[in-house]
Amino acid sequence: MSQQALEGIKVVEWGSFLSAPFCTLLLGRHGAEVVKVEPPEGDIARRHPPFPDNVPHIEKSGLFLWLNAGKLGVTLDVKKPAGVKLFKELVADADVLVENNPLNVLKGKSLDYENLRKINPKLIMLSISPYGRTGPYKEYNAYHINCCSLGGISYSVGLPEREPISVPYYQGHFQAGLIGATSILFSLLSGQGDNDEGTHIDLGEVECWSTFHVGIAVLDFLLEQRIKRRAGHRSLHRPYPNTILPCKDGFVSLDLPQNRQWERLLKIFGNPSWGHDPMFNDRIETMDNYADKADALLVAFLRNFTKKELFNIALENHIPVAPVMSTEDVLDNLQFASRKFFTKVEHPQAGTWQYPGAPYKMSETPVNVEGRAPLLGEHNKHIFCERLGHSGDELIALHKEGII
Amino acid sequence: MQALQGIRIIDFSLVWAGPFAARLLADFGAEVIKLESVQHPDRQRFAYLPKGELGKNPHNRGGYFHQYNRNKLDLTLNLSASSGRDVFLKLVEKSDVFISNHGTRVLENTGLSYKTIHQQNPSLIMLSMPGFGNTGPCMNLPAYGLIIQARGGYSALTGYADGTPFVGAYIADPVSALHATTVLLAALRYRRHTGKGVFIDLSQHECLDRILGTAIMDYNMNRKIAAPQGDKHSYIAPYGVYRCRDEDSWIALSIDSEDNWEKFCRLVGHDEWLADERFANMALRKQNEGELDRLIAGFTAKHDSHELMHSFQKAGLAAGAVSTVRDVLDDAHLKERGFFWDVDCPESGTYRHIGPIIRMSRTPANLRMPPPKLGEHNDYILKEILGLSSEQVAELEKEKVIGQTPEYAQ
Repeated sequence: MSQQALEGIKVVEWGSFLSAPFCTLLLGRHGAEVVKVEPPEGDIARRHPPFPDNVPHIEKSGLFLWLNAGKLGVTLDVKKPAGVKLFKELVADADVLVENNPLNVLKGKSLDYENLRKINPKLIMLSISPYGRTGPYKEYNAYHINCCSLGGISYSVGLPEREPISVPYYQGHFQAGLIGATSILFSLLSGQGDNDEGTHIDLGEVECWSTFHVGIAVLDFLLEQRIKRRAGHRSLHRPYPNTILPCKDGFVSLDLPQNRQWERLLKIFGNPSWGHDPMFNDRIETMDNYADKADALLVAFLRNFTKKELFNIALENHIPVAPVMSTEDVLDNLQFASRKFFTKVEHPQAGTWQYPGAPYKMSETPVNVEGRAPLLGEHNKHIFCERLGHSGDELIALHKEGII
Repeated sequence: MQALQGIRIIDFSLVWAGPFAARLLADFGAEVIKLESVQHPDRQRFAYLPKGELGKNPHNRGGYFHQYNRNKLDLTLNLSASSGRDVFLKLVEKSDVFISNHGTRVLENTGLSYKTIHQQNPSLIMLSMPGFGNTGPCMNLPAYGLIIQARGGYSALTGYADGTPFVGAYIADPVSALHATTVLLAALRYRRHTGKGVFIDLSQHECLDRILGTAIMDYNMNRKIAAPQGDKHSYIAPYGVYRCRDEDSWIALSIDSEDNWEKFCRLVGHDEWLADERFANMALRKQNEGELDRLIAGFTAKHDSHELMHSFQKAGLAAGAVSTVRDVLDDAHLKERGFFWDVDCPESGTYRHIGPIIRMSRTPANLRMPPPKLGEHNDYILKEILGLSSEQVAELEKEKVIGQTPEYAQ
């Protein structure tokens, strides 16, 4: 059996909801051991929908289940001194710590990097926070909507006359987790073991939004002095169409920057006379000044085709046109089935469901898609007693005091 | 010492996702050789010319290309010519990683399948990341961000709760790029321990769907087809974006507990909301969200978004002003954190770049080289790294296998 890329690496996750857990999920899928530390009442993600039949249950949250598959789970009240002591024992034994707690929690318990490196000089510690651990906003509080707004991404999504929208389904938190995983791997590769010196990685979620900007908005502004405005179903100042339009049974997306692609589309429509109208001479002009008129012309044709038909036309003619798929369409998709993107995972309380797997295949050291999410406190005995040497009686006492 | 010092990467990718992944690795010390040709230079060399001016060498002035290709060396090679392919394979032998976002068709037509490359260098890591992966019915479909997002189910989730799907933000490329760096680095560690090369087949389409896990689980569990949520949260209220005083200015608020709700009401001078039974607890506030939003908007409309943000944050409330790009580039916080790099771009001047985002206390990133001109490092790579003679290089130049000017302008 092929060795796993991160075999032997021990990761402790101390955080909640999305960003820290997604980061450690990625590391775990490449073979690292992940110990997830939850408060005794559980990660808030356990209370987040979806639930089977929409009945909330702390062992059955679909979000929690796929985000924490394959991890070991312990409970610990890190607000109490006995909890802090146990936490430090865990960290002393680990290679990596991933956390996304507010700054005052870290400082209040002396659990910031300056203190933790004293107990484990080789520790790689990743801190994910809304604005980073330094700077004028370091103590600021933020939910996803605030990060999107301050990060500048919301401004470009929505209709000009209505409120800007943040990106759907907590993308910001996932981006932070994803960048976090890359940053930890940079550390691991730079031979931290050899030098006896760890590192602190300080990631601000607001800053992660830059990855989405630089393609367009920053360049628009710096080089052409233009601020990208939101425009609903289209993207301004791009060659027409860069748009979502209705078709017979839903919507379709079209992005045809190259002229030969546009010509091919016109050919599919039977080369209508309007194809030569001067308003299409410069398709960026078309987008900025004649888009509504152009939309009406295209929709008259698109209305005759279903999503499936348009998809086949796109494949046959090699043009960048794609139906706007719903979740149902996505899951019925042949492409996914043929690439075996989903894995079935059994869980003693939640049941068996299909989870999204890894978006890549590796010829060696394949991604581990086994393992389910831990039950609350499932590995307390394994970690605190077997690993760290505490007795069963100690564990009972800790439980009584609400530490675990 | 830099994190990826000593690693050599061939970057045979175009536009955004691939170049961005390679740039991140370059920022942290890898020697990245961007592979283009005079027949097919990266077309982003012609996008975003400063002030729209062509200048003497427009192909070296593309702002989009500059942002994504700093810290890289540049090599041109016509891979359709057998002499070009020979040089390429020599380079493969001396490299650690090969990244491509061309489809399998292109790679196979140029004789660059993994099999050939692996034979040349069994310990090379090859990452192929076309839009829809290297297998399956969609594998050769041309893929731009919007197309991937539409097929991936993402566009269907972008929009107001009462509306139709929007184009939204382009996230497919950066999401794929970051998955690419994660898996590449994992593979490099594997290779360090085993000496073995790896072929990685990454689908940008699947990268997007992995992060839509919640919507997928809801469908699996409840057959629920996810819909756009606009800016609303499933259970927190108030939560949303509210119009402020100046034109198109807004503030995003999230008031997540009873304590914070009380603080908020007192801060905005509307104690009477605390006594209003429609807003007595979170569930009721969510139920009566429409009316609550209207009242809050009545307050925010009279104030400056940034001032509001600071006063709310002082009280510990989650508030963020909606920033435009100009705001982001001027942001005091980001500037203090050294978020931007000012880069001297060839034949263009100094421009602000977004830095490497990741801040590490040891092995930080740094700016070693500006974005390269087309074929700028042909000599260095061919002679110093591959040991070709001046005559051999001159011959390649004569046959236009290498060069520094594009065959045609876009």
